[in-house]
Amino acid sequence: MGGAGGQGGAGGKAPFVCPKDGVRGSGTHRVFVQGHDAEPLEGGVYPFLHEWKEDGSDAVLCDDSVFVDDTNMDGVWQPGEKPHPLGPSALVHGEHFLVGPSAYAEFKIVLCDDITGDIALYIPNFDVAGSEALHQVFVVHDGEETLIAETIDDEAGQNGYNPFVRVLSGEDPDVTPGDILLLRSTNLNGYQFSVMVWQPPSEYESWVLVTVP
Amino acid sequence: MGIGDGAMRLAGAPPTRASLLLTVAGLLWSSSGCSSDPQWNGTATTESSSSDTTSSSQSTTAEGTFTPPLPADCETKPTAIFGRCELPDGGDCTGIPDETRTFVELKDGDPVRIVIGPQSASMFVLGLRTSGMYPGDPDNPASKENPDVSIELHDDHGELVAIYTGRPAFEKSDDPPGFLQTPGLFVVVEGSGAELVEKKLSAVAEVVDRDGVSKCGHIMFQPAMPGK
Repeated sequence: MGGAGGQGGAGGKAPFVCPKDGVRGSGTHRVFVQGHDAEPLEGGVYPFLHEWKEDGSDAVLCDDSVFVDDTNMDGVWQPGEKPHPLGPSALVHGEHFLVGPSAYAEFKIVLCDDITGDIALYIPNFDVAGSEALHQVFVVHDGEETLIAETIDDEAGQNGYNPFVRVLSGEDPDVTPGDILLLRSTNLNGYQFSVMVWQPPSEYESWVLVTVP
Repeated sequence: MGIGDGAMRLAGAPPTRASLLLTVAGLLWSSSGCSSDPQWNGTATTESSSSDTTSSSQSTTAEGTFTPPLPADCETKPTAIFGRCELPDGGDCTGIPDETRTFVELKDGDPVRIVIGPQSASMFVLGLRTSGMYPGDPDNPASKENPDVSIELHDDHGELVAIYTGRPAFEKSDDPPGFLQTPGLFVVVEGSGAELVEKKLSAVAEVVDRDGVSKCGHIMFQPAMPGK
């Protein structure tokens, strides 16, 4: 894997400083897959985007009562509730085409606080009947990956950008500040599949929800 | 199909990406990328991948010809060679599942056609041949037993134009025997790729197997329009 190693760990390293867009603070955080047209990080890994207000409080994108069409008014997003086309300001367009079996794309962000094993995925995708894509969420500490949750999208596609949505109860990781949250999406059988970010802001953006206890 | 099926659909909308023009700064070849004990000796065919046009340091000549950064071992003794992917009728592989893919060795300067895949993505379909590593499990494309493969394409000004990442299992080669190869590595480029046709592209590959054995290869090729 390229460039997804965590920053945590001891041993003479400089004290960890949480980056501005890091996942921190109790609550639910929505991190967005950056589009393929953006500049990748080292190793071809793309960043997750996570927005904060200038005062350090959660941006509206993390607020389910604002970000989604909260049909049951409980303030918590759930499958079936449609996102509003807001999107982080730095989000750019671009499909991540996964062509051929085993082709994968990776997305990462720094964790500044521990997270639970509760992971939600919202991944619009261009696929066809027969396609199978594996989505895996890891915590990476000093280059060592720990699988938190995984799921396979084998839902029939329609050559459109239908979202694949799952709420997963995965393994509760033991996060050291500076570890990396990593999403790896892999084409399992060679049928057409792409992870979408389409002309943002739109509802055809891919994102992951994580929870800091 | 997930939630919001009908309403969420943009059927047939083609990708319309801006050109990806990235500098190579910060995306340099890893200094630990290649094995110091290469297995590939370049003798399997009469036209093995040449290192004549490469350099151990990144440079751009006055003519704009870019040479990618390569570790010394990879420059003098590449441990993997590039190929392109061909169908039984001589056509290009397209990424359609179950197509029969054949590895055709490339040498520096060869043309490689841009292929329009079934999702309208433009790509180069490359392959790799090597030896002396664990080939992986062809029945499990997501297995961590499979070699981790990355390919970067730079244009002749050093701008990154595409990256492929995958875990393809390698198969044993019959001709020549004794090698491992994978013929279908789909390197997607931005837009139609037409702007690349007048350029030369440099491809560098890194392969790391389950045991940490590394292979690397590089080649310069000439992009060609689809079907030509």
